[in-house]
Amino acid sequence: MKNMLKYIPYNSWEPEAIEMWLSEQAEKGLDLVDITLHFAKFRRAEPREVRYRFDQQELARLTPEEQEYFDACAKAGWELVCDWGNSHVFRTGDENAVELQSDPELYLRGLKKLRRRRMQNTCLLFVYLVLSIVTLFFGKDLGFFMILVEAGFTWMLFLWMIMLGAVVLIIDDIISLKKNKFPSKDRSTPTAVPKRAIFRAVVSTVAILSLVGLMVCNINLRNGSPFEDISLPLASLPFPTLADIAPDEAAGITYGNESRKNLPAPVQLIFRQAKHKYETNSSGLSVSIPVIAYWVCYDELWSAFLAKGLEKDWLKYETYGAALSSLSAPGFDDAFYGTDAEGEQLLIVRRGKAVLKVTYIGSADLREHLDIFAEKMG
Amino acid sequence: MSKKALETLTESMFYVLMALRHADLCGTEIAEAVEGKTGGRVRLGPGTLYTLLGSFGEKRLIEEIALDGRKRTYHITAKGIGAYEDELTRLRQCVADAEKEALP
Repeated sequence: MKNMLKYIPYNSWEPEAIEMWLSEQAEKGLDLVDITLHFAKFRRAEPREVRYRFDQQELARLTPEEQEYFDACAKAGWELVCDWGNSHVFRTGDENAVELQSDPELYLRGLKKLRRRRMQNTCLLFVYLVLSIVTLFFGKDLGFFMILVEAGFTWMLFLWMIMLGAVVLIIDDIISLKKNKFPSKDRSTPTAVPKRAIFRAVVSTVAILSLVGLMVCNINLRNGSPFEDISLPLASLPFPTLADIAPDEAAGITYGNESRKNLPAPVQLIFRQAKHKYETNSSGLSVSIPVIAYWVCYDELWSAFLAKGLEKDWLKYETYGAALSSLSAPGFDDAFYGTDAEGEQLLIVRRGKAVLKVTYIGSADLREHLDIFAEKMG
Repeated sequence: MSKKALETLTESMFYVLMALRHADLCGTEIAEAVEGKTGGRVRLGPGTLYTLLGSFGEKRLIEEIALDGRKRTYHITAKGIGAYEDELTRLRQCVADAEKEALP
């Protein structure tokens, strides 16, 4: 007979609500077979009235073979259906069968303990959420944006997804803990637990999107980004090449193009052109020394806010000893320029969500070519 | 279960200790003894019984003295007897108070 999977519309810490829901399913002719993750597997059967119970046992950490608890349950008329987390799921069709938890006071104590533990978890989740937000918005002073970009933004998407999931779960917990009533001591009064189908649906959607997002990230990482294509026409680059800055120096240099793999939204392109000379050092080893080097790191992020964050990181961590000063450059939101002790030039410019860093060893002055940068980045 | 939770015994707790007061018994024998002693008024569900045996064991009110296949036999400790007698004293006091209250 064909089995059917159903999403359990309650939290795992609301066993009494799930018990009622399972009983309703039995009345519709669906008998529980197993529970995996948050999905209940049913098989078609004759509609009937049964009681389901979730029972958590410290002693039942032992296997069924070692434990007379399971014998006692069977003797009392309870059929063990499956295990779910720390709970054993039982059912009985015998209306005279003694309750598994026959002491209402102990039963309620257990239930309260379960919810208290859940509240602690919710509080921890809230702390995590706050820390994530603080890290995201204030972590830029710690090189956080640079790390994210270097990591290819995969983790950033993942972080956002987890944060969104955390928000939904916290709201869900607050609403359900507020509305959920404990069952009456003799369990004759059914617990009035509203089905929070919308919230559960949002939680599921976020979880699925997170997984899909991660899969897409991984597929992209495996396949490489469009910029990995080495044959990308030079003219289509969003920044000038050495030929645009110093045509004489560019002559004879075949360009090298490195790329980093990123999510579809942010673009990162690393471009390098260089000419080296070889000298023998004091140890007798041949070393390569750049005579001309033109190295560009171009990032197009999701927003100007993120681009500004990355720019700040670069200014703080990637100056290589060059003292940078601010430039007034038409066409850019920010521009910084400096040279190090060996005459290597460093230029960092940002326009909107695009930010670019150029390191250059050569005879031209990058400041005199800012208009070309502005034109290409436009 | 916290220590505080054990200070006042529930009815089930009280009867489990009472059953073990005079003999070492296994889980099902305890359930039968309690049901017999109360004329069927108190029926211990397996969930409650084994939760209690677990927590009593942790609190050293009882101890496991024999394992025969899946059958475990329990023995009440001096601490368990003390907890039972404290509760008995409290209940006697309650009854005495109620009887005094009932006098004209």
